[in-house]
This record gives sequence, structure tokens and C-alpha cells, in this order.
Amino acid sequence: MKTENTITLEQTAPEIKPTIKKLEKSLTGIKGLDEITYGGIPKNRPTVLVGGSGTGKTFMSLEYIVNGAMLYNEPGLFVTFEERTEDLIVNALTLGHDLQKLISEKKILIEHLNINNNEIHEVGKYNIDGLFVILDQAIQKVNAKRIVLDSFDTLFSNFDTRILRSEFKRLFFWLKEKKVTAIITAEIGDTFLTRLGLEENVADCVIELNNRLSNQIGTRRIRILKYRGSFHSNNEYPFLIDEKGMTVFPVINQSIDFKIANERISLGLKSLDEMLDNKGVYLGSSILISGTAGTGKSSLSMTFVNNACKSNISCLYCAFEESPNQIIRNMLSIGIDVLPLINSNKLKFYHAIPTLQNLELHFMAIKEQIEKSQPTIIILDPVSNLITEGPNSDVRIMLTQFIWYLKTKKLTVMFTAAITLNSISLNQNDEGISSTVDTWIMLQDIDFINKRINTLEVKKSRGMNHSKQKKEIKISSDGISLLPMVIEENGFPLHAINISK
Amino acid sequence: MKNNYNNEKYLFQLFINKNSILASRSIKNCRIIFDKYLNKNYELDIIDIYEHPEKITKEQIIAIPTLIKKSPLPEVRLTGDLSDTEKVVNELIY
Repeated sequence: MKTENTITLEQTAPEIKPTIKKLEKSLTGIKGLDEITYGGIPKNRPTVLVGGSGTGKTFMSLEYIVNGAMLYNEPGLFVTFEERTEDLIVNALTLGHDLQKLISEKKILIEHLNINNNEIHEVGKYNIDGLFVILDQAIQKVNAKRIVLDSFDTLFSNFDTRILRSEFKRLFFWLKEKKVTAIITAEIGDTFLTRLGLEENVADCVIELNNRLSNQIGTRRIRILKYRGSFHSNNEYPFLIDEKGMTVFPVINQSIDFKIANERISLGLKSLDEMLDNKGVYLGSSILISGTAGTGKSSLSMTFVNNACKSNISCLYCAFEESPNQIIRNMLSIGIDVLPLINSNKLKFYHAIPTLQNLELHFMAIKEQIEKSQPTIIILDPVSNLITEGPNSDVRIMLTQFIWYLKTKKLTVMFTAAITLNSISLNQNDEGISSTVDTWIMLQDIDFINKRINTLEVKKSRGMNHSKQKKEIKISSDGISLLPMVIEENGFPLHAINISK
Repeated sequence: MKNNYNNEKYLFQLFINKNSILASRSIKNCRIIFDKYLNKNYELDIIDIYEHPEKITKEQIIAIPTLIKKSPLPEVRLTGDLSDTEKVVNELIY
């Protein structure tokens, strides 16, 4: 049943695709943005990019121009009313773009228009024909196909608001006539545009950027407010600006034709494999190991890694709690020697302090590691630590999308989390996480008066006839062993068992 | 003529789009004001933006018509059809 559900989901989701191609689009080349706009911004039309200061408007539009010149062979014109050309070049360099080179190759032209408020005295009616002439000249110089005006506010800051509306419209129609794809940035909120009636009437596409603090961690987000004649995603997506440019997270892979593996992989523990059809889990599936502290989550995942590495499968272990050295020492106590695995390059570690950066940054860094070392198995230990740093809803969506990403990469992902049945009843989001995984192994500890035993059960495992039995899990210097549960003769009845949180 | 003790000649540049109604109006207003206040001690250079696009790029003029007083210094820019005579006189001459 479960597998059927996943397949139909995979088939229906991207069906939006065929209806999209009616409007010609201009690829931005920005990772993730072309996916959420289904192919870029409207070609030969102006797009308005709104957002507060420091949200990345200038950078995003610059990225659009640079990508046009470098990836799509479309020369670009960047008109700046704020920053000087030299400053812009320096800023772009710190973010990995050599504008100077592109300028000398005539692929890009940066035109700095200095509009000084004090210089202009209004003495009657006027229009902005001058701007058209200046733009026209600049467009001709490089035969520009892409143009950015940064920013609208500065451009019109010294003009009467009465002429603003009509002139802004004229600018839009002029740009359309010129057959250039334009991005016009504006610091003013979208309410301002709405007030002028510009958003409804003139702009074909309005994109909003914002920068919000939640739990003291600031995240930039992007949202498409309007896209005339096209499907677009209504969600708000986090994005990053780093030395590799701008990335809208997650980079959703829309391909549905990724092969679902029928191969199985052992979890490194014979008795556990037995509970899973005697074969272990599917390659490329996701496995959740949940349980409270000290129930053996890390030990179980390391057993999996140990076995995989020994059969020549490469693994990436993302540790958010312990440092690699700590893990090496601790695993020795249960008879697993991690060092040779690292030395043979089969095992790679990603170690980071969860609160150091926000979740997207962690996922970006992990992705980078994945690209670099191309592992087959990835362990996230534990994800509950990552969850502490953002509002839960965000995390769940992001985690779900990240798992999806890993699936499209055909990676087998195992993550541990301090989720218990109690916490699920308290926090619905935990359930969300557990429902997205293919295999859920639940660890619990049961308190008796004189002792505590840890149990293991397979809560679910899609696509196989898994065992429903609860086993006792014992961790010793020889490793992990699963034993049948024994109710002692003078044991307590089941309802007296206290499941700790 | 407070700004012009040396009786220096006034030099003006008027940027227009000659196909626009604002152009003829601004030229007319210019002539009226200058003839009245400057005793013909001025030179008016009328530049059509589409004929000389390079000049407008150099001067970075966005709004049309724009009148620039080049001399005597300081340079002053006025934007509009110069129908606000009082303001023109105040900004340029007195």
C-alpha cells in the first residue's frame, strides 16, 4: 500500500510541466529559481524585484546578468543609480564574479547614472525621454538582451509622484518594445506598487525578497508574488548568497524518472536484517532511527556504516552532536574500529555545530560534501539537533525536501532523531518527519523497578513484509545484539510498564 | 543680476525631444524669460536628444526638457517646460 502511494505521488506532482511552455522564458541560471518559476522570468518583459535593503536585490539581478553573459550567450546591461561601477565590480569579485573580464569582452556593460537630488529643480511638466535615449545607447553598445535597473526608487526619488505612474508605465512598454528582458529592483514594498496600480496593470512578474529573523537566525527568502501567464510556486523559499553565487533552496530536482532500486542493503546486523524480510533495507531509501538518549541510535547507525564500508560502499557521516574523534573513541567500546574506514577513504565525516549556522547552510554544506565524495550512504546524526534551531514547520518542510533531494541522488539516507511516541502526541511535526521516511526503526527504553531494558521495533518499512516484533537490544563490547523479549516470571504486567519520554 | 558681476555671457543648453509638445513650449518660455531678463546677453544651445544621444549620455539627463546653465558657474539644472517663470528666474538669474 505504502509503495503504491509513493509512486502515484511521484507521477502526479510534476504533471504541471506540459502547460508551462506557452510563455517564452528567460533562464536566470540561479540554482533553484528557474525551478520555482518553471523556467525563468518572462522573456522580453520587465520583472519587478521588490525587497527591503540588504535582501540581495542587487546581487540577484547582477547574477542574472552575469549568468546571461556566461551561460546563455546573452549580453547584459546593468544600470545602477546607486553604486558606482567600481564599487559594483569590487562587490561582485568578493562573490566570485569577474565583471572586469566580462566588461572587456563586451559581454556586460555597467552604466552608472548619477542622479543627484539637489541638482534637479522642477519648473513645469516633463517626461523621462532622456532615460530612454541613454538606455537605448547602452543597449546598442553591447547588443544587450538582458537589462537591470537598480533601483527604481533612486531613479524616481527626485520626481513628482504624479508623473511617476505614467512614466513608469511608459518605461515598461518601452522595454517591451525593445525586446529586452528586464529586472527592475525596488526597495519600496509591494504595497507601494499596488497603490500606484502598477502591479496589477504593468508588471508581468513580481518577485519579492525578504530577510527575516526567526530564533535569532536570519534567513533570506524569495517569493513570486505574481507571474502573469505562468504557473509559479506560491511558497516562500530560503536562499543563500555565497561565493558560489545565489542558490534558492531547495534545488528541487523535477525529474521523476529516477530509478527505484530493488537492491537491498544490509544494516550490518543479521538479526535486524531478519526483521526486514531477511534482506535489510532498499538501496536509496530513507531510514529513521528514533529513540531517546542512550537507546543506541548512533551505535546502530555506525554498525550500518561499518558493514557498508567493509563491503566497499562509501559513506558520509554527518555528526551534529559528537566530534569525529569522540565517535571513534566511543565506537571502539562496542567493538567498531572507525579509523581504518576513514583511512581507506570509505568513510567521510561532516561535523558541525548545529547552532553555528542555519539549517539551509548545513544542508548546502552537506550537499557540497556529497558532490565531492559521491557517497552511497549518508547518515545524519541526529536531525533533532538541527530541529532545535528553527521553527518546526520550516524544518519539517526543509527536511522533507532534503530527503527528496537525497532520493533523487539515489542516496540511502539514515537519520537519527529523538522522536518518541510521546513527543509525537505533543508535536505533530515529529509525525510529519517520520511519515516521510521509508523505514522507521523505533528504539524505546522500558523502566522496570530494578532495571531498564532497551527495545527495538520496526515501526514501518515500505515495500516489505517486516517483522512486528519488539526485540530487546543489547549493546556490549562485541557490538549490538537483538534478543527476543522475555517477560520474567515475576515480571510486571505490560500495563505497568512505563515508557519514558 | 547678482551672480554676474563681470557681465559674463550666459551660456545655456536646452535638451529637448523636438517631437514633443513640451519642446516648443520650453523653447518659447526660454526666449521670453531670457529676452526680458538677460538683455540678449546669452547664448542658447538647443539639443535634440535623438539627434545627439551621446550628449545626453554624457550629461546623464533623464528628464526632458532640461535646461542647463553652463556659465556663469555654478552649473544649474532645471527640469520641465519652464512654465514656472518665477522659479526659473530665481534659480537662474537672481
